[in-house]
Amino acid sequence: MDTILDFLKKLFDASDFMPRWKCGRWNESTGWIYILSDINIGISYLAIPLMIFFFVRRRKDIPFAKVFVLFSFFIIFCSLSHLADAIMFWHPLYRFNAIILLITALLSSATVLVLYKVLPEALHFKSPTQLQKIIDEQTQALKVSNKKLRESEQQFKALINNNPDIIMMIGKDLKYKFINESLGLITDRDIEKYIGKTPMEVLPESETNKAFFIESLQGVFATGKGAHYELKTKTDRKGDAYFDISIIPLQDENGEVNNVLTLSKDITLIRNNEQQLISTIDRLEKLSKRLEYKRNVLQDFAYIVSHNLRSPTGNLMSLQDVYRRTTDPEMKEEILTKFFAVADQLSNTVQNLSEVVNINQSLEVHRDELRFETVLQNLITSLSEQITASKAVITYDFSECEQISYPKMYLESVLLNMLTNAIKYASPDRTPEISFVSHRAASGLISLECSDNGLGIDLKKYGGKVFTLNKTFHNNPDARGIGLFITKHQIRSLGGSITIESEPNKGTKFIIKFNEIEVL
Amino acid sequence: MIKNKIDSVCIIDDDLIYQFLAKEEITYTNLVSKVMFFDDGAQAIKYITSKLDTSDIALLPDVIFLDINMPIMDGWEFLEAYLPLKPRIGKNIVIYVVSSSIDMRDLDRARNISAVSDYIIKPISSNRLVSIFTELLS
Repeated sequence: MDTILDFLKKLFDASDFMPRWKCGRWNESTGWIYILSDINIGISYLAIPLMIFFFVRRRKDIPFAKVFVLFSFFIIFCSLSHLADAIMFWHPLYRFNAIILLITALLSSATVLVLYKVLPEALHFKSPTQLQKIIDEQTQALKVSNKKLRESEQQFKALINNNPDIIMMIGKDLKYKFINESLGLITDRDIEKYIGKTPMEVLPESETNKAFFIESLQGVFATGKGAHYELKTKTDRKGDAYFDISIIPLQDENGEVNNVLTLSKDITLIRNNEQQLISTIDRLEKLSKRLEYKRNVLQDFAYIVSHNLRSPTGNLMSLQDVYRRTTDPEMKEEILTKFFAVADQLSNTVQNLSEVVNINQSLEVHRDELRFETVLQNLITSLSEQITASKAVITYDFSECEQISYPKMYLESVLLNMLTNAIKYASPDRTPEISFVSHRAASGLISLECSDNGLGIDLKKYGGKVFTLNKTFHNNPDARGIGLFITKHQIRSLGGSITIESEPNKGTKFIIKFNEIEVL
Repeated sequence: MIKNKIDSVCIIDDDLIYQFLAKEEITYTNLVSKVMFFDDGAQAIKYITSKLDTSDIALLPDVIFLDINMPIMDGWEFLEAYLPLKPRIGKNIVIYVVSSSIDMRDLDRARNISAVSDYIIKPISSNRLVSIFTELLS
């Protein structure tokens, strides 16, 4: 302890030693080489940490900064030891010098230790050459991938632009960001005129279409769910066109929808084909209705042949047989009476049938522009005697459909049959009331309703047989069952129909539809 | 005991000329005691029902000649109304459908009804009647 205290007390005491000039036989030049070299080394050693300090301060990313600090202190003390060594020539402060050397020694050991520890890590650091090589390699790789990116971008652009669908990207501000070249398929306007604008500003659509589009866009932005709809519109290049429009949300990495893609697929051809298909089906339906009609006519004829021709003919044959074998003159007379009655009936039937054949054969019947009121008034005038006798009250309302393009003879025959039937089958208990009302449906169907308050027909018993030949349902001597048969065929030959609603002792209503199907 | 005449034959037909002729032809065969007529199916059903109610089975016809096309109740409707009555009738009534219709559908329909023996196309000859009656009598 005493030794250390003594050492520290005499730290700057040079009295125990000889100045170096006096110790040994120094000549001037040797001494000064020694001194100047020491000073030079000392100053240079001081400059090194300054530069390191400067370097470390400028290069903030320098690794192992502490090693540099340690090294700097080590150099500083090296410098001090050399300077102290030079001073020794005059002031032999060996104790002080010993302290400096000790510190230097400690610092050097510490530096060696730290360097030794840091060395493996430092070895990992790439040398500038290595780094340059890496940079070169990476630059090359970057060039390659840039090229690939450009290629893929080109392919993508080609793909997008050659896609026949119109593809657009629209931002949250509803402004167009991108539109592919397919826009040119439907419009003459430049794509650039769209970019940065909103659909409201640039779309050549109707306000309704635009509003719907904007609404759909806003909906997709709000919900993040895609939308899909069909649009009919007018285009510069294709005229009326149909589009199938999909709005697809584009999510960023946070899941937010900042852009949407719209795909507009031109489905005009499909829609037009569909329309054509529908009209073809429509035509086929009409055709099948016409065939159905022809089939009905043929069926009616088969029925007429068996019931109205075969039946009386069979009777005639049988009457002949019975006549031949009968000897009783009275009986013969009776058979002959019946024979003539059947012959009359048959002749009548044949006459009516030829009329119906004529109606069904005349494909091109001349149509007249007829006013219901005029035709009915003319009939009322010509039937005035009958009408007056029956005291019938006739009313009509043709306001919904005043006229019709129809063969004059047919319309007259229809109205005449309705009128005479109503008078013939009037109830004796009440004043006959006959009314005519015309209708025109949205489909263009023209119909006529004729109702009376007469005897009526029990349709449960006679339904379906009302319009057949020689059918009568009343004990009326005038009834012959011909009128309605002819009327039905006239109406039907022009694609119409006649139906009946009736209740015994309440009245009858005939409904005539004039143009249910188109006939050639 | 072998009968030499059929008790009664029934004609259901609205054609009065045909009724007259059928009566003549049936009488001519000399194989039938009595012929009765109904203008439509409803009248015939009414008659049959009334005889069943009073148990006058003997008054029911043995043969029915049924027309198809008649007002009020046609031949098909008659057959429909007749079938439920059949179990109550203690004897076999032979039914022939007689029509001027040569429509195959009518023929098929008639032949598919078990109660119908055959379909005869008008006019019906006396020869056909004789063969029908003699077969029934034997």
